[in-house]
Amino acid sequence: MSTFLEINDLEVSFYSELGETKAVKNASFHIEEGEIFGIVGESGSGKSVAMKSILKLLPANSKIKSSTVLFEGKDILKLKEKQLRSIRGKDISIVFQDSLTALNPVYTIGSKLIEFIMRNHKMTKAEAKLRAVELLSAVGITDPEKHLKSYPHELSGGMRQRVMIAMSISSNPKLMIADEPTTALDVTIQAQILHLLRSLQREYGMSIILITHDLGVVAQICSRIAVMCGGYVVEEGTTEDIFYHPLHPYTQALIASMPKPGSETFVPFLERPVSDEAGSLCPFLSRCRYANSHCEECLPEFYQDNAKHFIRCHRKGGPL
Amino acid sequence: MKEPLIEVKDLQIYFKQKSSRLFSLKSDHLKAVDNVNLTIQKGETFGLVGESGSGKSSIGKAILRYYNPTAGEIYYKRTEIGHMKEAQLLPYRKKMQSIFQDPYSSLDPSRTIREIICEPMEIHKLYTSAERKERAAQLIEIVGLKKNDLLKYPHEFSGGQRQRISIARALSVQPEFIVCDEPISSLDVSLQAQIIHILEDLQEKYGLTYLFISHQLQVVQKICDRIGVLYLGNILETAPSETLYKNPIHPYTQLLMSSILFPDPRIKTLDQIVIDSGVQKRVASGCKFQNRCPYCMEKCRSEVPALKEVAPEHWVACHRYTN
Repeated sequence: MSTFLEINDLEVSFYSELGETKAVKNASFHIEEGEIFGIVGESGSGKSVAMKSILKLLPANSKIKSSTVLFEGKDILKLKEKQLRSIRGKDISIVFQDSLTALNPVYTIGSKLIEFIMRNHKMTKAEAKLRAVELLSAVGITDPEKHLKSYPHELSGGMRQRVMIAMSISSNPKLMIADEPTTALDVTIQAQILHLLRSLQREYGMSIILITHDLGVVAQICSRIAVMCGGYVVEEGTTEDIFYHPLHPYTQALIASMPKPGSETFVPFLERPVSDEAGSLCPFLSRCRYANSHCEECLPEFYQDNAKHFIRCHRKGGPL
Repeated sequence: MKEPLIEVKDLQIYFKQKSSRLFSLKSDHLKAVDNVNLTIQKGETFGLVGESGSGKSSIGKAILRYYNPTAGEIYYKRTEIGHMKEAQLLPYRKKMQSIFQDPYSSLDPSRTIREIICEPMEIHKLYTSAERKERAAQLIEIVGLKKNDLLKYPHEFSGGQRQRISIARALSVQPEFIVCDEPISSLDVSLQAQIIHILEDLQEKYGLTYLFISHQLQVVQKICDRIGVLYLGNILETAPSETLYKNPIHPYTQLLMSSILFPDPRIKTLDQIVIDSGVQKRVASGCKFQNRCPYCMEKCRSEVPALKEVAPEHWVACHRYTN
């Protein structure tokens, strides 16, 4: 497998009356072709912001600093808005968490979907309609012709999420970014949507970046995972490594605190981090039980445990 | 020494809906809760699970009398409160408190934390003003926050901290029964465990009884003594949580169990998940689960199955187990 999206030292800041807020302080990782890559972290860890910045979908008060995002060798961040538009929605598509706000309530599913296809593929309306029906049945919507005439509020949450997925695969993207696609759904529907994502990924050979805080989801569907904490990627590795040999204390605590079905009891987790605005130290410092004076001096560099396993920790995976 | 604290008998909650026909004046009813019976013992944690639309929150709100039940009785320590008038109800309202899912909308943004915690005590005319302040200071420490947090406003706190404030507010009037309506669903995993620990500690300390409403089966199964599985307003299965987890009998409970994604890459649960239509459809007669049930029989379409005890304390409403 080859790398086709590479993110290096991504930094994103927001500016307000109160000054600068660093949402993403340093995120580096790469996506290989045809894999499902998971990004996990608590709310506020910067996982969504990092992904939206790839497509420059952030509000105007944000700024991306000194970073490169290489997509098939091109630096996306240097592209002009017009060039970016040919990538956004075509080569890279995005599915959001809340499908009710992501779909326009005054248009039918069909009119939006057809418009989208006509615009991206220069098809006639009749051709686009055929393609829309094809897409809706591909994502498992029964009676697609009828549902083209439905409004978003007439569909259930799971159905709307399927429509969103249909829209995002309409141009055979090479990469799909799914931002918490199943968080708002019931467990039975969540399983269906994940099943669908995986079969689409296998069928079309696209890569998927799955942003979630649910470790159950990433364990089941992702081949590699990046763990984000306080704006940094603190650990990156294969799913097997992350779940069975987590090296960063944050990842270890996160995995231990996950409610597993069965008789094991809850493991308490330490208090939320006091956000370190300057961002010059380890984001987990205040909660880490292994923290020592060395940790209070400087930010740890990336340390490589094996070919695919990276951690940002002074312990380098061992006891200190 | 089992002593029922809350008993719900044949509870029905119907909501009026506009008819789907354009000029019809007759209104339709949405049967949110349909003939539900349940008993919550003193000092236990009873869990209600179900997908959205199953009526789990409606039951909680009816017990608290935020909704008036359409039919059926609700007993609090053998006193019927389901149809009681507001004036008589006040002492019972003091005994029953609630914690809600959304810690952002359940706290008044224009009031300080002290005012928020003191409000229930003021409503119930408990203590003098000075005692209330002192009590607020005690409570805020019980839930793990600091005394000087009392002068702050809700927006200065994170979701987990707000949920702690909600707990302090609920505790202020010394309740016996707390309805926890998805108290941890909007929190990060790291905070979920903390809130659960606080709730468990308080239960031990004050002998509280909880009704714990959630859609996360893996969470409910951990903290509840007994669980009721709800689908479209009917209880389909009740059992002690250990039994329910090891031996789910109702096809719907089995479906819910199989949908839990294990946080373990070596256990491939996603491959074994039974994919059903997932469409909840309200039916006029028979078992509510009939259109999604893989074992649906003739009888299921015409007759509503009654809850039957198949093992000690394990009740199931399914025609496959009536014999």
